Amino acid sequence: MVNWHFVVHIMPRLLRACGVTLEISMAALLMATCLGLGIALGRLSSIRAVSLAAWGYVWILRGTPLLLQLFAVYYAVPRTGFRLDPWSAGILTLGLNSAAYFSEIFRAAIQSIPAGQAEAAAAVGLAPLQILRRIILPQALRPALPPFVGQAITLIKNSSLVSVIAVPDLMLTAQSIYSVTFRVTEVMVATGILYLAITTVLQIAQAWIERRLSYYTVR
Amino acid sequence: MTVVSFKNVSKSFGARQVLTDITFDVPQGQVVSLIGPSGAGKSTLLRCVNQLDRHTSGNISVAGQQISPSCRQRDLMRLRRHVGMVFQSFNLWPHLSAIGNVMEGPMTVLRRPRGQAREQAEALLEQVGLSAHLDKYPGQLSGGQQQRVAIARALAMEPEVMLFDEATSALDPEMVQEVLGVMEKLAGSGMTMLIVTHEMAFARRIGHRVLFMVDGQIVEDEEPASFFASPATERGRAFLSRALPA
Repeated sequence: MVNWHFVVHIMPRLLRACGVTLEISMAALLMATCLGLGIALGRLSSIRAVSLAAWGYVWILRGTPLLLQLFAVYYAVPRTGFRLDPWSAGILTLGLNSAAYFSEIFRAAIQSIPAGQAEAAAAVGLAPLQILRRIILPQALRPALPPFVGQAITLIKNSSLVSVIAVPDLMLTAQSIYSVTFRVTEVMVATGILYLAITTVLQIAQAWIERRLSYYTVR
Repeated sequence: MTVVSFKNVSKSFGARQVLTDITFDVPQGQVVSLIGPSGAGKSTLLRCVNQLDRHTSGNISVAGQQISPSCRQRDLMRLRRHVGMVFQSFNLWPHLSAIGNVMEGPMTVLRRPRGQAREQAEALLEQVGLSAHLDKYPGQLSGGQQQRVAIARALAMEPEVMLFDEATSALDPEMVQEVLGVMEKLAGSGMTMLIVTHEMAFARRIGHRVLFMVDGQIVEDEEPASFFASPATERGRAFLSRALPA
């Protein structure tokens, strides 16, 4: 059975580690969102070289294991003379990897907006960037949100992989506790609860934002 | 003064030629109906006026601006400020209210201050009979109301010519009249208008001129009275006999 006293006992240490997981995840999420939008727009560009480059990015980053990418960034990049601490390597890899997934989510959302929307804006005289910012992106937000949050949750869970390059995140801290105390069950229960708590917050945020974004929907 | 001028304009999508050697001039204040069987190139011709479709050869001039097949994005944006367009499917922006739709162009393109844009938009929406619906979203409006917002949105840019691409084709019959009424008022105010329509009675009553198109060419260019009474070509007669059931 689970010894709940022990669960409570290790909570403070796990909560501190939770901060590390949150910090790394949020930094990577921010990076992936910006980069992902850029890649999505690149994919949709009429300039062939740009769209091809964006396609290639998604092809490689989505088609190889995150763990491999993490090792590549942490162990292989320093050989070029560019030193990275584990934190930066973790954030960078998670960000680069998730950007590939986000870009596909954004691209699909943008393409789901009927062509007539951009056409009407062009007919009024809006510039291409104005059309994107004022007409397309505000409408693309809603279809993008559910898969975006799904992918953000995946990012947070994937952040546990940075434990393999010695970032003291929630997962690594959990491992170091049970490797000393051998109370694997309690540690995994406590750690699971914390991951679940973080992802639950995101899910609640999603529901709230979806309601806010539906102001112009009828029925 | 000539507002729209086409000289030997052709357009192809890949290997498919959709407009062939189109030449016509529209003087200020003229209301031109473009009619013909579907696939004749009426909508494409209309969309060449504001370059939503680029022509492949020939010269187009609109409101004094020359448009060549190779001109740049900047020139297109300048052109489109002077041309209003109303679409078959309205294409209102659903995330903006009725008045937001009307204010968008003046605020974003012409950099008008919000208050001034709002005042103008209120006046325009009143003109099209929608004063009671300023803050409603497109999804809360009927088709006829949406199309009238779309007309106000186009007029907000103070265009020199208005294009109507089957503006009433997607409407329920009882809503067609309210939109045609607004268009008729607009024609009466001296607006230059190019109208692609299947409303023959409307073209006959409101139009000053009929361009009858078949297979990407203008085959008749007549006054409505003479075109509808006795088309000069066999194809015109055949089209009218189908479009105007006895």
